[in-house]
Amino acid sequence: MNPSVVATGIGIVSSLGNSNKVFWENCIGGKSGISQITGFETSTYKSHLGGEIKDFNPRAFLKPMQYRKMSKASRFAIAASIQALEDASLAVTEDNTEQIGIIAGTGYASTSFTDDFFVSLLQEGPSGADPFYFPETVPNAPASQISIFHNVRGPLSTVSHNNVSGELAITYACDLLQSGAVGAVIVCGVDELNPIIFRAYASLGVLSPRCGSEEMSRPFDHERNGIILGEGAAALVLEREDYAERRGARVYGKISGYATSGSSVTLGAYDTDGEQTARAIKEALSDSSIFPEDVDYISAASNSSRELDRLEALSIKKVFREYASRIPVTALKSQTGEYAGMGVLRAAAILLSLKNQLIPPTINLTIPDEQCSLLQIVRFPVSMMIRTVLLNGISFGGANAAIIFQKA
Amino acid sequence: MKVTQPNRRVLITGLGAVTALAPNAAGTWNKLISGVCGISAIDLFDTSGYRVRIGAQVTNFKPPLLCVSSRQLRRLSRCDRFGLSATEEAFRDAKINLSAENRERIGICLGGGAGGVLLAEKYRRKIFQGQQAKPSMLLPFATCSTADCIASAYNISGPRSTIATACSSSATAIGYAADIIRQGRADLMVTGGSESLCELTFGGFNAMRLLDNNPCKPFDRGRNGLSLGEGAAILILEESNRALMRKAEVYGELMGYAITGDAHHMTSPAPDGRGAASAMQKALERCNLKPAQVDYINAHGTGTLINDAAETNAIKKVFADHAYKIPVSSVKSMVGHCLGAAGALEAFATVLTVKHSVIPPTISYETSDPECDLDFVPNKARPQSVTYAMSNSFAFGGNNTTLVFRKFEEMR
Repeated sequence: MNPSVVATGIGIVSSLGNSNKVFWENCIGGKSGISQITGFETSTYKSHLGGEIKDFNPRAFLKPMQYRKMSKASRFAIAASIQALEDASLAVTEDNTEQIGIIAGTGYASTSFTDDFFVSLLQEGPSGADPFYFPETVPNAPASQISIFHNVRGPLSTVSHNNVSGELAITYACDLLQSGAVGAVIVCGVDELNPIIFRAYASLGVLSPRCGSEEMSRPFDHERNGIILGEGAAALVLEREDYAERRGARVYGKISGYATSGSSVTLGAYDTDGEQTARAIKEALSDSSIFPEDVDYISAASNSSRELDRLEALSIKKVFREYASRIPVTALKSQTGEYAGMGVLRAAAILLSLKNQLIPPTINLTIPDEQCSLLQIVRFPVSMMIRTVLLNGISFGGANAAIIFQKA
Repeated sequence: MKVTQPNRRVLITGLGAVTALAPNAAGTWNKLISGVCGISAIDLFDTSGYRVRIGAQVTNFKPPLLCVSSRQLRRLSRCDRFGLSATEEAFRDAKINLSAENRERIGICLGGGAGGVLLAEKYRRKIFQGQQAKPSMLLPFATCSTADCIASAYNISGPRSTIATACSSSATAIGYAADIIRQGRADLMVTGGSESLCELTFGGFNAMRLLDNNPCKPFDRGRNGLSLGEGAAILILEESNRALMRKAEVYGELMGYAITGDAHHMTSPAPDGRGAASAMQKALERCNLKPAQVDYINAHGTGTLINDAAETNAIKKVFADHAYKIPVSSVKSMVGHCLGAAGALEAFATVLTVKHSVIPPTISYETSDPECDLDFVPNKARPQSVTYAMSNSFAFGGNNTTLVFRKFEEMR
């Protein structure tokens, strides 16, 4: 992959904290961001937990006039983007505004507003439907709000592809940077936890239930029984290496290669044979001109679902063969739960691990599933020399992405 | 495996479409250049009580039976079915025999709008009324469900992505798909977009008073809003050497694209059209073209007061005096504003304009507006050779996209 793409700024709004510093402390400390959902009623469901963000104050980032018309997703996204630009010491000016792009990755964006609008339509009828909610119902709302807030006028787009929305936003940003269309891109992965998304996931039977079993996000565990939904936003400032160098930016790490692939499955299902998920990893390694044994650890997509964790273990074994048992694997979703745009938060965690030379742990793992047993899943923070990390993205529906991060 | 090879070019070698005009590409194109209006009363859902009750609804559509089992088809949304049908047609049109292809080199990148919302609404209504509803109705809700179901139906395993920027989604998806081929990450891409009418968008545009009571009249002085539509357009993009080797019929070349942000307002374009102008400007730069070389602009042209004036301003800003010499037309006057599929349908119309040297008209045009004083090809198609053509797509939140096409004969 040429020219190189580097990451120079990170911004985080998460259930593990609303800044890089707090997030990283909690992440490395093996804390859980998952708790009883308080934002809405869950008593009629079998599941009650979520990686809900409880201490986010939009006033810390926005004036009430600004956030009044914004969904939770847009508020999170702006807060993350403010932090990321600040962290990158990148000020948007009339001179560089067209050289900066914004790509968001989101599964469902502002569906709380979508539902509010539709319910107002059902309750009040066509003449009573409230136009207040409608503009925010588009999935490109968070990215657009970021552009309006910072007055960024370069390339602007939004990727929405199930649980690899964040990963595919990163790869689109890399493509834009490499095509020379732009010098820097703010990539933001964002989703909100709201009653309608919770209902959808619960009714489809994919959430970890609390009935005769423990409700928990426990990737790779023998007892895992489903996912826990999370929410939040993470933003990265990605730059073309020469652009970052010219302005003397501090660099967290670089993206040295990536690949995407697709598996043929029915709607909502996961791949089973692992051919295409493994191919994405292999091609990302070759795009990065490295060998499997060069990978220091793997940030897993596993989210505590029976199917995904098994599939991911299978794909890792297919690619890494004899090394599979020696490469540390960690799953951030054990701490935060799953949300569609979360690939960017996982990328942020990787960049922080490159900076701090520590691998964050997978929590809640008691008895590893036999099908995942060959893997070296880290349960405690590991301090070691980290140069190369694989971010693995796998979604239900069949989209796969693998991205390689390296120490600059 | 990524192929590194400088100057890979991208040709369009297959087309498929579903619109209110016809459930196929040829029928749609013939009606576009005959100036037929596809906008009339909507009966897809109950529209009583709405201020405006018309739109460009797809009728007499029969879902394709070839690539998915009837059990799978039952689960798919109307939007997914349009997309599958257009893809089936596009592959056939491109004369691609998938069983002989390396499907790892074939990818898909679509733009999405409301997608499976129509089905999710039925679910939501039942829940609201205290009834039981099948959770499977929610499966196609995700914007990417159309891309996922097409990729699975044809077992294509190359790059896959979905762009979700409302009204400019599918234009961006097409531009991005071409870049994926240029980068060497795929040799063939299925791209475009699909959309189905639903109450969310119909109710939303109604509530915002953005809909015209009559079929929309883009750029007309009496324009009073847009008309929503639905449908799909799929383009097969192919790396040029590969296409030439297999002697594929070529519709045109996709030279490049640009996307920009307005950074202005969630629902209104910047009145001076700065973001739109910047998209056209950047697209020209990227394709190494001078403004005077552009022969045709397929406008976003929604029919709202503010969009059409802003787009006219933007065109003048970029093209200066030449703006008055370029034919500009909006096919939304015939197929409505198909949101997530709009950019794809307009790319479809633009590439056929380039191929057949006929410019589709802006219909329902009666009175010229001093604010919109360009050549809008009123009411009648115009035979004219077009070498370089642009297609504009703009969206809520200031998401602007411009695609640039070139006549095939000119590329050697």
